[in-house]
Amino acid sequence: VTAQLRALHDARAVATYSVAQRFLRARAPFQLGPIDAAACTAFTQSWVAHPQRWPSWDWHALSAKYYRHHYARLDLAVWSGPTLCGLVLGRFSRAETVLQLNFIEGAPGPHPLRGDVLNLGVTFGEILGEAYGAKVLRVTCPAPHVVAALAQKGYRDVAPSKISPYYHFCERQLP
Amino acid sequence: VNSTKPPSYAALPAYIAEAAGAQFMTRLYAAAERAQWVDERVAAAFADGPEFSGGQDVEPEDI
Repeated sequence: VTAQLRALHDARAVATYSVAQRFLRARAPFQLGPIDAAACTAFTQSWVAHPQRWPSWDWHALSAKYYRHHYARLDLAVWSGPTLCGLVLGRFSRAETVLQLNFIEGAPGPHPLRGDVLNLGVTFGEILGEAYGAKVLRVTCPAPHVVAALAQKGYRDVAPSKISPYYHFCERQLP
Repeated sequence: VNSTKPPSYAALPAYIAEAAGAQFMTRLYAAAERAQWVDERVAAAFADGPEFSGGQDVEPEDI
């Protein structure tokens, strides 16, 4: 059953990547795909030791964990030709009512999609979440400019509170 | 830059559409249709800072 669920997830993911890359607009041509061996190799070769990289997230470990434990996930690699421009990881809640984007990172230094990765990641999340039947998309731990951008898209800013004391997120109802 | 020409179901390999299910494919195309127009102000706001977000592997809570 687990293998069947994974196969179905993969088919859905491939369908989503195929559709999204026809619709979304960006400043350069791009291709969307899963965080696979090619994406991990590009990450290791081009991102890890880059002096302009800010986060220290280990995308090898993160993607391996999500593949192992979260069949209902969003894993997205954004390419422009041979250049890995962005990586996104998110997962669905247990009842799949919420899709939550936990990690989005653009490539360090100049790249063809500089400035578009966050927008692409969130918009792709909206498409995948809606197609899966989720009711809400959440973006966790957003930076101030991300909060401002999400506010323009109709997202609600939810500060840490008694209900969710450990993290800050922005959320929007999906159609 | 990317084409906004309406795609067809035939553009996807048949086995993918079959495995994903007709209901999923219908919702997928509807969602992609809504997402195709990206507001310029939104795009500018996203680009107005470091290109990363998140950083905690938080368990999503159902609603």
